[in-house]
Amino acid sequence: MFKSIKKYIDLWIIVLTLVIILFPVIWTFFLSIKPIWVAFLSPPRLFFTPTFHAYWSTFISGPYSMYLLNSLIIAGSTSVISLILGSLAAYGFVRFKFSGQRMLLFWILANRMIPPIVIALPMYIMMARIRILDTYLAVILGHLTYILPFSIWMMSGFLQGIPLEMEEAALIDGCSQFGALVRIIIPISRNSLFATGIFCFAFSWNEFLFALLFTLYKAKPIPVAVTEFWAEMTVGWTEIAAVCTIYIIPGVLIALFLRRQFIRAFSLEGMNK
Amino acid sequence: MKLKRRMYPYLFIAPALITLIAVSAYPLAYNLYMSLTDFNLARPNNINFVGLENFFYVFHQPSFVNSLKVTLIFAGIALSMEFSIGLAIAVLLTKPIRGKGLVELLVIIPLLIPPVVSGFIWRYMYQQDYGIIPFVLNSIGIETGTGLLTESSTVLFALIVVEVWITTGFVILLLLAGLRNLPKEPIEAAQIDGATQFQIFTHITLPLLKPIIFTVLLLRLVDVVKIFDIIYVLTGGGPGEKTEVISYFIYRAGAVLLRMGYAAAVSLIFVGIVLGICILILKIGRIKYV
Repeated sequence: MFKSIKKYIDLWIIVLTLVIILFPVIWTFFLSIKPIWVAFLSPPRLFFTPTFHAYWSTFISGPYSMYLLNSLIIAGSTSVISLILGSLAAYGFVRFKFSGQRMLLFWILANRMIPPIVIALPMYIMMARIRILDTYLAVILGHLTYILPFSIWMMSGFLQGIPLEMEEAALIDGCSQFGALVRIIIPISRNSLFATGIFCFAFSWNEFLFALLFTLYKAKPIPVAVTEFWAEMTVGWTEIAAVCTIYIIPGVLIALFLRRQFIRAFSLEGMNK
Repeated sequence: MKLKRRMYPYLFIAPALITLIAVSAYPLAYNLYMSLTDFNLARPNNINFVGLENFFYVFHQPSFVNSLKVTLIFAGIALSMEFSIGLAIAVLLTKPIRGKGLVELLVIIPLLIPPVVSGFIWRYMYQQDYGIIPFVLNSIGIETGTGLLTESSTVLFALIVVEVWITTGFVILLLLAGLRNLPKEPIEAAQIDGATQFQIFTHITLPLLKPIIFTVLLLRLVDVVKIFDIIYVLTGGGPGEKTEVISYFIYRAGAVLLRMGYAAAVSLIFVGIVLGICILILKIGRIKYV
């Protein structure tokens, strides 16, 4: 008797957890398809005729598809640059022993600890001086401050798992070190590169502070653009919800399909050698 | 030829290193320079050296002390909530229960939603006139005053709830990974010796889990003190300065009030605090890095 009650408590906690995780997301999706007057009703009305007007007014007749493209270009470039520079550096750290190696690696990883606002303000002045504010480059450089260290660390972990013998065979056959990286290492670490790239993309896609400071109009990504609904007299809640719904799709897909790499990506696990 | 081989590692590392020096080391150094001047964005061509004046001024300013306090309270409550909820759910997920696979799959979602978006999601639910949360609270007899985000008694906790919603999944997953990798023998031995479930948990599981617990706490602490996005969206530091965390204080000093020299000084103090916390936890937890 007591056992079965206990079992049910466990089950109820599981159900409650699921509800707490999912409810806000589902609620937002419902908000996005509500007619505007239903959004302001209390108690909330559960049945209404769905409308896609909010999607239409933001992405089709409004400028939000442009902001979405900005987000895509910034996150895409950030992840490609982080992947190339990051895997080269990771290869250097994993395959060679050299003086100052530990110090250098520690400094690179410590960059992830620095609060973004501390870097963002002086960087803002630097960018104003060289006149690249409100360009994609400005935001990409901002994002590299913490995404590049992430990529180096993530790729180092993966490369450590690749046995040395494979490259040695290629090196003996007269391949250069760089050639070994391109012909042997990159093809076999395709999946790791993909996973790392996806996470770099997600971090850049979700970032707000650098984008807020470095963009004004042309290069503005969605997280910055969406905060501007407040300027209007009535809050466009259904529109905010529509933009948010579209914008979280990549993150949700990553959550569902890249679960295994996830713990590594968000922690420093694997750093404790 | 020999020399060339010695140069190899540097060739691989150089591109990343140069980039990081440009985007991270240089801005930090620039901060150091600015912190010693009265750099103001309203008159960017008139910069005077003022020595340590900015640093002396910082600690005489109630707003800064307030932001330190808000950040610490926020971090303290948020971390203890995340950790206790996270540990409870992680332990639950090690048992064979229906639906646990689904929980494991879905706890990641809030982490991958942009914090700005999470801020909006919760701001709508918190709205006094039409939000679902005040509606539910009012209907079970809890008064919400002028609104959960405008009453100074509830606003900080309302923000903490959002932060806990976003990040508890991370705590759950790391602790769960730790729990699953625990050695089985000590627990079995204790069971044979007749220890109760609770004794096993407090005397064997928790001590064995210590390295993971410290790692989780360190990672979360470093993250939570940087909090900015959800503050920006949900309260903008208000009401008054009730939710003005350090990041937001620096943002306001630099980007709104344009006092870059002063913002730079606060930034350096902030970096010092974050590094201090890291070193402290690494020392206590005896975690080796790199």
